[in-house]
Amino acid sequence: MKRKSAFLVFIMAGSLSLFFSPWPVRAADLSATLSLAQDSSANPRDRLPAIEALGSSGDEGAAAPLLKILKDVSEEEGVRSSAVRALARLGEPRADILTAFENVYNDPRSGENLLYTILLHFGDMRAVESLDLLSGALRSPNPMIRFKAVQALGELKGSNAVSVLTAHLDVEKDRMVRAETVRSLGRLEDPAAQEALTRTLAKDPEPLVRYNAVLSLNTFKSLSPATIEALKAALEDSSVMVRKAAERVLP
Amino acid sequence: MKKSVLLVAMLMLLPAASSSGLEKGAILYHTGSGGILYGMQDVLELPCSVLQVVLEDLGSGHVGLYIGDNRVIHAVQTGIEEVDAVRFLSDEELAEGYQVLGAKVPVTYNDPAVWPNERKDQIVLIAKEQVGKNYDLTFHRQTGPGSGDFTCVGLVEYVYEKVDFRITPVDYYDGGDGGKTYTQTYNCLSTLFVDWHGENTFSYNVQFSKFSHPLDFCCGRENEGKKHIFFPYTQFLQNTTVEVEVDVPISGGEKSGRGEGSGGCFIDTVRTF
Repeated sequence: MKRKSAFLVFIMAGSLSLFFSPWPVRAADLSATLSLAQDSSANPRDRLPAIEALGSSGDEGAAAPLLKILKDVSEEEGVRSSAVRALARLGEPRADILTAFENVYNDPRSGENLLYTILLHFGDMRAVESLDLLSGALRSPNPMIRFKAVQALGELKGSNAVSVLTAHLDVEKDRMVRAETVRSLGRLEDPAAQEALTRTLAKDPEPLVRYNAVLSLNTFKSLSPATIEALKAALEDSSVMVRKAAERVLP
Repeated sequence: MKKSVLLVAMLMLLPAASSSGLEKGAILYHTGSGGILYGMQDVLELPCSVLQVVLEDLGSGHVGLYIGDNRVIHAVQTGIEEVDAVRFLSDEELAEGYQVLGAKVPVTYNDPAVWPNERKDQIVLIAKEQVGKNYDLTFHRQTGPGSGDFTCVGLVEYVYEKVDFRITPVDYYDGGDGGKTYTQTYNCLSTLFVDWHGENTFSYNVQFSKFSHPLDFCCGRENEGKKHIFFPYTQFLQNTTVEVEVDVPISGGEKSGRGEGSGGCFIDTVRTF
């Protein structure tokens, strides 16, 4: 009973309504949430839930202020990253959002975690329109940029992503990025990826990469004879993790 | 020759706790301001009003994952970020009395038969996949796996779970053996300035501790109608991991994505109370 009364009082305290912002926003609440989200003098502790709420609102009118936050280089990187996530969740207007993502990504003033967040959300948005940008990111000297780019490419089913990732496997020097590349190939569930994964399992010098190749092969409904042979050979792999994973995958 | 073989064998038998060089996969912990950490003291108090929360530090502490090369991945209110290790505990926080609690790794981390290098690499790989995702601002899940489902301690628990290592058993503690309980009297605007008694707990052995707050409808992971939080100190206490020396700089840098007076990874949850 006491809890209910306290709850009611809280509800009645109108100024505190902003603290409900992580939940979907009703139209009547949207203007208050918009104000808080756009208030660059407000503490990020207050702004971030408001920004998140705009992304969950489903209201296309929320896009413009979120885009403004994203493009504003004077905003904190973390606040801009939150705007990226909110925009990706909002989803529309898609072309405007993806263009903004690309522009911010290409801006040398953008911080590294903002870049990682944008790359991740190209994947979340299944942004086949941004395939060229993601392919270009694979040439970045920063391995984490390449990592997040291959992670995003793994979400672009039905696109040219398989061939981009397969080609990248042959040139990537960083084992962590190669491992993520094989995980992305597994997520694409494309028969063409199976051949690349089989070749990687047989030849890659890094146990981490071979292990993830086995895990990715486990996503295929049927395995080619060549893949089965490679998995059998993996039972004798120098890595116990590769051996155990191959045991689980073999039919 | 025999002596050198013996020496090598002895070195291999040394426990993880005495190894030198912070390894990738090490879990870093720090306290809240003034060295306070929820669960460490017998008093388990949460701020009552929004105003109090703005002015006070919850003292939940913070957890991050060391990924090698002086880098850390951690969940903060602006999302999951990869930063220089010195930003794990900022110069500003040091000035406010925040303290490094320590670093831990699994007990058998030095045994290559159990923890080959590729298993440690896999921890880093899974953590890197999470970078860019959102923080769990309402604490509805805390341990992942989606964007908006992670707290700092939940992220670390998740990446270890993905390499088949459970640091902290998944269960809910509502009081009794295996933890401690504290009855807090809340009296503020949120309670119409009348006393409201809530029972807060801290679990020693399982992930989630029950808490009661006049505004707990908004936040926390629900189980059997009660709200729960996974506190960093619970994970720190687990004997599945062992302390290791922190011999790389993990403090003194610029604050990482937590805003002014953040108080660690839990402040946002209470902020919404």
